[in-house]
Amino acid sequence: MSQTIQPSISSNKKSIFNEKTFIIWLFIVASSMLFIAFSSAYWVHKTDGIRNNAWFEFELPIQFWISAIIVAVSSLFMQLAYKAATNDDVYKVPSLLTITFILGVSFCISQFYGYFALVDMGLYLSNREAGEISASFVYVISGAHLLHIIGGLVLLFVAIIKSSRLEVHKKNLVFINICKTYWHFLGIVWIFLILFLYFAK
Amino acid sequence: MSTSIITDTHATDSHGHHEHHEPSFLFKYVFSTDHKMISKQFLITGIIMGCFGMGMSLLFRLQLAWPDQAFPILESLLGKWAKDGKLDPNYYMALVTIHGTIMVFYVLTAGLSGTFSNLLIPLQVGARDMASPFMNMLSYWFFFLSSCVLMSSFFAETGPASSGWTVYPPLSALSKAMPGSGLGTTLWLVAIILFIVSALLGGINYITTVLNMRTKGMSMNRLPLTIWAFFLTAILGLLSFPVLLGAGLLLIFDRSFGTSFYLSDIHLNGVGALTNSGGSPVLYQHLFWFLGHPEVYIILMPALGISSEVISTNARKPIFGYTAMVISLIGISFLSFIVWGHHMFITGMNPFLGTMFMYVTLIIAVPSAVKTFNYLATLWKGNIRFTPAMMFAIGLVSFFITGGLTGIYLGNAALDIQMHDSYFVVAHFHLVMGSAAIFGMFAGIYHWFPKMFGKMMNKTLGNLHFWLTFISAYLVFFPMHFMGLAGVPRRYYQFSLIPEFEIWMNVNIFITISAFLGGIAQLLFLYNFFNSIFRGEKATENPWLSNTLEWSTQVKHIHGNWEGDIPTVYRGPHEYSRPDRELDYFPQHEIGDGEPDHYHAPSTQVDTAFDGKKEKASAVFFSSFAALFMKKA
Repeated sequence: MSQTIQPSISSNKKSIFNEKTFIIWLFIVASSMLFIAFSSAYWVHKTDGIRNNAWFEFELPIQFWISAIIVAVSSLFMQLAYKAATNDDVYKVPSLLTITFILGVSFCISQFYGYFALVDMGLYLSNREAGEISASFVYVISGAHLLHIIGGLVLLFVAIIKSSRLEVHKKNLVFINICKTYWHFLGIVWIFLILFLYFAK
Repeated sequence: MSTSIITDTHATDSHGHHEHHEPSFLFKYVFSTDHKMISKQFLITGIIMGCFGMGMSLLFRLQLAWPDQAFPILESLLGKWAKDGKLDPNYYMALVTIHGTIMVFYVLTAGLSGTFSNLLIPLQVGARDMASPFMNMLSYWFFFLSSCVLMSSFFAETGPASSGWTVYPPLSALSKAMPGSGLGTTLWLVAIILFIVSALLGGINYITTVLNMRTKGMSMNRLPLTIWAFFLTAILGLLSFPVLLGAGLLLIFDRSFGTSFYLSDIHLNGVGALTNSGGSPVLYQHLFWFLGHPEVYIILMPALGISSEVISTNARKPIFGYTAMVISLIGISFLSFIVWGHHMFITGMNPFLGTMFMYVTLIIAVPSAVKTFNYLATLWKGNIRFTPAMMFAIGLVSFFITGGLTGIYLGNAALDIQMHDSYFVVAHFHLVMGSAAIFGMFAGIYHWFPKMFGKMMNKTLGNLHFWLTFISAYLVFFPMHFMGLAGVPRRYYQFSLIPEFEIWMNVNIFITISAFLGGIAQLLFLYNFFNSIFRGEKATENPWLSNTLEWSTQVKHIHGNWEGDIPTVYRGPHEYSRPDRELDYFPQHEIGDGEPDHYHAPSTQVDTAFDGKKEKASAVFFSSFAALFMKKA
């Protein structure tokens, strides 16, 4: 442990945020705007489609709901990993992050099973009838989210390597904080999207 | 337990720039992470793109002035697109489209905001560099790549995108709608997606740097108005560019994956009715203009910020109503997000919704007027120095008024239904957005050229450049108001074919000659700019006797900006002609006689964090799972 005294003009003013953590928050804002745009487009289209009798209603595949549970559980493990790091319980961090990573991969697999279910229902990305545009929206919105998840998995992978090198601890929380923030965001977005697609019926 | 005294953390913080080593040529000039070099890269690329954009406008002005005349030189320049010296109608549309795209995105967004946000944010807030210099470098290279992709569309067999800079579907959604709808539009979309990535990387960096990396004493109410403008511009970009990305992605799906987000009941010659239907082209317009209108302010606000700084410095007066200027920038930023519908009055929107959009649009006149009056009040009784930068800043105020007033007409739904898509609109946005912003950009270039290149630009050539550009801009765009009021539509290829519009042929010739005059004026600028870089008079550290922090750095650029500690800030940026001082300026970092220094009080920080230790990574990884079931030692 070290005690540091900063006595003079040369000491820098402490920022209220860490720059890197702040950057991820801004990225989250930008991503949120993308999903807000898609959700708004869906909502507007649906209103028009119902009015013009050109909107096909269908039940979302169960796999998408399972994905929501998986991503919620993964967020829990992410939080445990972060807590372990803040408590300097450094040996627990890699395993907790790995479980989060595995759950993230499971989420992707579950999403693909959701797409297969849609195909089984005869709903494709391209629409052959006007009303099937509702399915196109589900593909595009969930696809955009899936790309974000893949980005999150890359971050998690780097975090696992860093934590295995004991580089993630109380004194060095920036990276795991970024991972945690982003991963929670992805979980919240999917839960929002699935509820939105369900209740916007 | 150990105790240590930190003596110079300020100099070593952020990016550890205290030790200066000379980077290789590749990392100094090409893949530089130094914000000053990146700002030059943005500027030079912006200027090159500006030359292309202006060149295109001259080509289509030739067509509009002398539609029946052949110009053999066009054939040698454009080949099959100007057979027998006559511009092809499809190519005319392509030129109009790419001119708009280049000017809006590549010159007045990246060229203006990219250049000056990069140059000034770290220097004026007192930071060694941006929050993430690497992201900053990526931002430029995405922009460069985007520029290359866009320009490469001129080599596509079917020509560049031709459906207007807004690329409305269905022209843009169906690859066979017109020649430019094919590969040209695909390249346009790829270019814009790369551009959005660049804008987001840059914007995230700008916001983070302003909020997190200000030097001691640089509170938000001491920020120069340039920084406020760049900061709010970055927020606008952060919130609106992702929506354009969404719009573009849906368009790509419509073009290439058989969806129909924007396609509805389309019948194509030789193809018949499209199976993918049920979409709405109006949806694209909503998504596009959600970016499109804030984009106007993304372009304009940096120019307004630059003008505030230049006018205050050269009038040797504090900016009139600093707080009002900041509040009006915030007001404009907020309002810009709820007015997009005024671009769509004629799409058949509910009249009540149209009325709402009309009112909020007209309210923008209030913060805009605050800014205008504050500029005029700053100039009033100032000890004005008519430098080229000052001339261009005053020119901006002129265009902001002239173009802004016609915005009140167009914001009115009842009038806009008549004037929509006419030359009145062309006149309006070229004055308030195009000319005003480009004048702000020129003001910035002339003012900060000594800081960028360590040299002075030639003042006489600068003044000549100003007068020729100022006069030609008015000669080009002012008559367009009358054409628009008479119902002359924009984007038409040949007015001589429409008897009602033949009376405007002479005006078109007049406008084209004026446009060429403007083009010649830019050659003067180019000569002055590049000649001054190599042969200009050497600049002093603070040639304009200005207050802001960037003038406290040495002329020679170093990565990290200040040799020693970053200066502390003691006052606002516009304290000129204070009666209690002999000099007519008071730099932000100078402490006054008898002024208390609150920033140098000793502070103590106790660090009790885990020190970390080294172990083999694989061993830690595997033992980590066992640790889950064990209590912490």
